[in-house]
Amino acid sequence: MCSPTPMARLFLVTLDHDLPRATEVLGRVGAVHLLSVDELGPWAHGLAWEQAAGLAVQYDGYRQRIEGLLRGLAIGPPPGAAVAAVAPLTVAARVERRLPPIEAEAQRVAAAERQLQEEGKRLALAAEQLQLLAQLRVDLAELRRLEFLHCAAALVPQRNLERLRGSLAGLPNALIPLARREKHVLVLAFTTREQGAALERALQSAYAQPARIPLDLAGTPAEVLRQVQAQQAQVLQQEAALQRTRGALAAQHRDELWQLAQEVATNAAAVAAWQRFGRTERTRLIAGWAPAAVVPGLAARLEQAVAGRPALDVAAAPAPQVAQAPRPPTRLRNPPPARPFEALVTTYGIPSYDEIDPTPLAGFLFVLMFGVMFGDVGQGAVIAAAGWLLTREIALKGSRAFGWVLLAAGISAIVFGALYGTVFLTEGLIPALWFRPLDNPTYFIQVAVIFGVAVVSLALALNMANALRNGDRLGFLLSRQGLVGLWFYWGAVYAAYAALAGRGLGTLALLALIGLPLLVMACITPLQDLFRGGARPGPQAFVQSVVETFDTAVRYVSNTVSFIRLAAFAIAHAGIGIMVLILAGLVRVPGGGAAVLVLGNAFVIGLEGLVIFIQALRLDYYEFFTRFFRASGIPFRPFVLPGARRGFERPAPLPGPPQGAGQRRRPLKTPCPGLRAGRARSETPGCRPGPQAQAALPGPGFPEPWVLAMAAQYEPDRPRRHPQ
Amino acid sequence: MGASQYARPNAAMRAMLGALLAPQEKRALVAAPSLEDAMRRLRATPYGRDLAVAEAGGELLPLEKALQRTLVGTYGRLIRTLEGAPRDLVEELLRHFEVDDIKAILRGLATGAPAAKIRALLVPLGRWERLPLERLLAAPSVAEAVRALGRLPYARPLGEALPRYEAERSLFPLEVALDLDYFRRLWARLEALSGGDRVGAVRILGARYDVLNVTWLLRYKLTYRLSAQEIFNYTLPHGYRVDDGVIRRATTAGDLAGLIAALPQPYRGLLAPLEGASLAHMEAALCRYLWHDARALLAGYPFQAGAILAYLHLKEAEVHDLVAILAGKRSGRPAAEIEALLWSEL
Repeated sequence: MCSPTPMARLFLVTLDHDLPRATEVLGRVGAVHLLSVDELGPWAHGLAWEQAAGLAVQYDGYRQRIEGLLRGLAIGPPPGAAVAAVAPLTVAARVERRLPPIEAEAQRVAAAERQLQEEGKRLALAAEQLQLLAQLRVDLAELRRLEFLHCAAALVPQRNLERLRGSLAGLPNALIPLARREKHVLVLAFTTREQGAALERALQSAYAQPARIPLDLAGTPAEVLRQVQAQQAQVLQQEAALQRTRGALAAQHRDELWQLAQEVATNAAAVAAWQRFGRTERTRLIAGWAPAAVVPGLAARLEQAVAGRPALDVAAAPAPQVAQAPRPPTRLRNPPPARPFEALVTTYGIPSYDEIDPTPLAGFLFVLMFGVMFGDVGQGAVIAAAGWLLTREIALKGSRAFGWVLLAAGISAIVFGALYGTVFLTEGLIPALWFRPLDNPTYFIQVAVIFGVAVVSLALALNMANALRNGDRLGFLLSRQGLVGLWFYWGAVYAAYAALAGRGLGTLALLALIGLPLLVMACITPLQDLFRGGARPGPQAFVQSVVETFDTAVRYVSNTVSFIRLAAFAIAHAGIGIMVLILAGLVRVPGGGAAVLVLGNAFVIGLEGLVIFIQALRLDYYEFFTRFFRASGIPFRPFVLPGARRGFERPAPLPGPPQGAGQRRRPLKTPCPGLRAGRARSETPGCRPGPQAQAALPGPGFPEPWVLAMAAQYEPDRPRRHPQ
Repeated sequence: MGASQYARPNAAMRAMLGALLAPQEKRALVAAPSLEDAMRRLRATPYGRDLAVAEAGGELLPLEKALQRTLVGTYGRLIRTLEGAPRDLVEELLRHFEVDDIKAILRGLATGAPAAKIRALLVPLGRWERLPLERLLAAPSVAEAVRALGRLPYARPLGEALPRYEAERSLFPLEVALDLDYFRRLWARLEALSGGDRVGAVRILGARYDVLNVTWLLRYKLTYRLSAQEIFNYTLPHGYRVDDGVIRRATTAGDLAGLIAALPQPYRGLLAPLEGASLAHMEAALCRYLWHDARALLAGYPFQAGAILAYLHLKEAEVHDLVAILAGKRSGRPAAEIEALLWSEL
């Protein structure tokens, strides 16, 4: 609680032919946040495995082809995803063998369909244009036989028509718009026979499409239209026949395509992961982070899968002060009641691996503040009921976590409603267990400010705790959000309290409480830089530090005063209640008063509830988080093969190793007995480092020498084999 | 928008104006003896930080992309400060990168270039990106790419031009359709401006349309040898000094001298001495005039859309010039040759 899941850094060196099995284990377990070899540091730059990108592109192509086929044959996606075996080259060969004949058949049908569709479109367009010309009593064939004139019928984009007119200004012409269709105009254009080519080029440059009037048919437009309609009926019959053919094809290939789709999905994910891996001549380097608790199980599964060949180095996450990249990812670890509130935190940012996860505190404060501002037994019950419905997913699927937040906020509103004695905006129905907000607003504001002081102090305490966790003792003591900051803050609070209570403090006391910590804060940034080996600070650094100190002091005040909104919204809630009751009393229609009461409550629950939800969130984010929460974490995104069971605490069973695994393969040049793990640092049960690995184990940090030494042991005295 | 609404954009623009390179800095870049030396000098300018990440392989394309990224960033910063019609106009102006990207993709698809190679040519638009790049790059043909544009405004003009592409197997009709449609839409945004905003915008953007029309006229007439009707249809009906009458007279001119004589001043005066020069030199001369015009506009009343557009033109000219200088240095061109192709005055 309050800390992310402890992570272990993994380095796995495996032989190229073991890679698919190792990938399958990692993908089924779904517990490793993979790192790209480029992220490991300069020592690993030459290890990038560029060919994997080619394989990934190839698989992307397969996926598209299969999806295209499923779509083209009107077959749905595979029912239920399952993890297929990771064997990219085998699957690629199968896809290359099986897809082309199916594609050829499907394309034949698709081409025929396209042809018919084109024909159908052409006829539909012709019919449409003929309908526009229906009033013409001219035989279309006559237009083709004009002796001195050139005639063209075309659909001109409407916005090009004026430009076309302008372009024809130098030609003898007549441009007759006949009808409009969508954003096109059907025109008949005439010019002299000599200028026919110029007219056609002008029409073409105006992006006019030749009218689809079938000039091979003779007769008036109305007569030709009847002929076209007969052709349309024939096309429809042919389309129906083709659909039956396509259905038969789909039935014949459905199962095979589904199987291929699953194999391609699994292997596409695997080769996408491979792009992150490093490589040497015969080995592959996999780097990543995994929850430390999962590592022993993962190591055992890897050993089982690859018959004792891989070398695994496990180390706890580096100490926070080691500023080496890559940093561990953050997997939040909260007790079940706090988990729904994780979204409140992650919306703001992901906690860094080495900082306190504020989820439980933020959740508690949010619920508390919501209740303070929205204290109403009846309305709280409505909100809690809505939350409960969401947790049951009766409405709005996928909102379960939000439902729990709403339920907690509703219960908090009920509790504070009982303390204020408010039910559905009405005061007096139940006795107030504490006080009524409108009866004593000054007291309420005092309580809110005291609450604010407590929250800001808590934030400072968390910031100091974070500094200690990171080994930043200077920051703990002297930063503006550290002990000096707390000293100033409490000093200022006490001075304000004394002034309000009419007990003035002496100059010396004020200097000690406020002046001295301010002075320390003003000097601290330049001095910190100096202590940390930076350059000698100039006057500019001190001026900047003074300005920042002033800003910090103002923020302390504003952050605290901001909590007055707790009282303000609670008082406003009570005020709205009175207004609704007065309005309900003014309505003389029978039942009208009750209706106003119901509508008023609905309005308050909807609108004010939303506003208060946002305000509680705002107090969490701006007054609380900004003092200690860096939120610069990397979310934990484990590599999971499609269809693998989510949640690595109970991973899917792994199929046994292939028949004869380990026997058929050539023994390693250097003995590599079993799984090698950096026991010295990981203390991973069941993982014992072999003699070579032990000799090469590095100190803290990133195991460049270990990885390279381990990879070097496997280098061949024969040509490299492709991974598979 | 009045002075108060332009306070923020103007302040942002003035701040960025100060970061434009001084003529002596550009002169030093042009005079640099080698690409490495030019890069060293460029690193000392405000572009240094943006270029640092792109310098790894010494390739020119990543540097060009990095420079374009700064340009897009400049657009973005100004767009965020603007409101209403001026914002719409500047946002539409930014879209000319999108038009260039579509052309690059269509050319790549037509020539069978690999997706990675095409992608490397695209302008990194970041949060302003609207194109479905993955679908476009994976499209098996030009026609499929056009269909992949879906509801974007480019789909219609390209769809209308597609039958011609299919018939002629030339990208020319597609690219012209795309340009004409885009610049018409941009002009419609300009016409939505009101009062002084519109006057300033017409002056700077209208002059840009003039330059476009003149360079297209030159290209269609001299390179493609199109008929007068075609040229008229392939030019824009908008501009500052070049109108339909000018275009009609220019299209019917018998030769280059006649075409130039049909143009209004200052274009006639700019092009007359360049009669034997290449189209690139003529285009550069026209763009240098635009650069001067933009600077003159910036010296005037500041609280108007024209000032923002003028600054953007200066920035765009600077990025063009930097790319030209680096390309020139890479291919070992003499300084005078590089300078003649720049869009800004040194």
